[in-house]
Amino acid sequence: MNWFTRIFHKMGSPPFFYRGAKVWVSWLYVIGFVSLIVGTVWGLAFAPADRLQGDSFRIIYLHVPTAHLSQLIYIAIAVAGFVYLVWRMKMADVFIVSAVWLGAWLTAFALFSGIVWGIPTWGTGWVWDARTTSVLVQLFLFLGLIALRTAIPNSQRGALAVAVLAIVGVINIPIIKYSVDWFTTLHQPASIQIGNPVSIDPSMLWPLLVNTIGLYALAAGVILYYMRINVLRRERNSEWVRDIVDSN
Amino acid sequence: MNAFVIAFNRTFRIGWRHPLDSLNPMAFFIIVTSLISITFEGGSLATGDGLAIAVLWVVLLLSTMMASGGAYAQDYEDGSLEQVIAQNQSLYVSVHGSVAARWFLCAVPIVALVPLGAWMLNIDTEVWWILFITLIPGSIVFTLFGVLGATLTLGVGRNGVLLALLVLPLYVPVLLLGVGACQRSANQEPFEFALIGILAIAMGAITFLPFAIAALLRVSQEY
Repeated sequence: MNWFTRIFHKMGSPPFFYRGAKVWVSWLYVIGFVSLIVGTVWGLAFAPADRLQGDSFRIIYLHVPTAHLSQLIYIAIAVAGFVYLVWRMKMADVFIVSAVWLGAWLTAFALFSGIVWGIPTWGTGWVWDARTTSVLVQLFLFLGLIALRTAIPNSQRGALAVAVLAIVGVINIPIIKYSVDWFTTLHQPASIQIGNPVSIDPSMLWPLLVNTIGLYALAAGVILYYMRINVLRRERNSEWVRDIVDSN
Repeated sequence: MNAFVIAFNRTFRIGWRHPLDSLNPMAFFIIVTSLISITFEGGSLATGDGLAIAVLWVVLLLSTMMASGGAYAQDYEDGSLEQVIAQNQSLYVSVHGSVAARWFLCAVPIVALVPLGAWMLNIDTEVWWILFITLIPGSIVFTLFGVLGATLTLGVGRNGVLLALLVLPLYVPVLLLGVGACQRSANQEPFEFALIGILAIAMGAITFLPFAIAALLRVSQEY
């Protein structure tokens, strides 16, 4: 058994996860809060104003990381759904249940910050073009996942149904990603692309990267925190949870 | 007989003997279309207006969703779904047969009403053929997603709103492409891109969605 399969099996074990994740949660919270504060202050107060958009461009420091992260969470949920369908790994379902609310909130915030940004720059808060519409659809997909998970009382069956829905809904992700390149839209194409020279000045780019790292760390911390709670709740009848409760 | 023919015959025969399951969505389609026409005061909706095309698509989408939302519910309750799964035949092919029958029962009658709806909404007759060309693959996708939603919510009582919440977001790409193709054709603009997009989504849905539906049907019997 190589190291990868060993980690894979260990991560599938609730007690191992519960104990191992504790340290990670605190570290991720610290890294997340510190980089978010540093990045936001840097971006809002010290980065130069945009030549065309003035100070209104500064919302990029919240809009881009949340939008990007919400998409990433959707993909992660679909991957976890696939893992659950194939290997019936309990932890994959725990991940989906814990991440889906955060994904919905982040998508909602990305839409909201986009509206706020759109009012001064586009002259309108909302346009029904490809990018905004597909992000709105992503929000509906998250809400659908939440509704479906709560509607089916049987835990295993609900988990499988949610996994299938998440995988089917993943078709929306490439539509979001390429909507700006394929269709004519008000939304600008991505400024940071792998393989292309970055079209943002370093003085504006660095706070964005710091904020992105911070938000990723914070989101990972929040998800792990809720995963630990959900694991405890699900395994409440098992031996190792009783041991933990007794020892406290 | 192979699984496709068995499933098709069975679903079609049961549907044929419950004609209200097909007639109610048709009535819904006509009622909603006429309500919209009334509120637009009949002729005041200009010919060639893209809005009428969009309205027609959305009403058709809702009626098809309602019609296919009851798929497998009866089979699930009376236990015949278990028999279908227990047969030593491909469930994937069987789902194909069942969905095809359901398309004939639920979507084709509504698509056949499109001329009536287009006439009520004052849509230019020159657009009718492109409406049909886009609505045929479009209604196949709507039926497939509707059946998927129905299998997702098998055993969940009173699932109408939940079904809509799950299925409607999945309809959006086809809806946008379909309405886009019709509107562009009405304005004499090139629409091939949107038409190819719809056909591509329909092919993908026909190929892959029955896998998901079959998996969900198995799950519904496991737990």
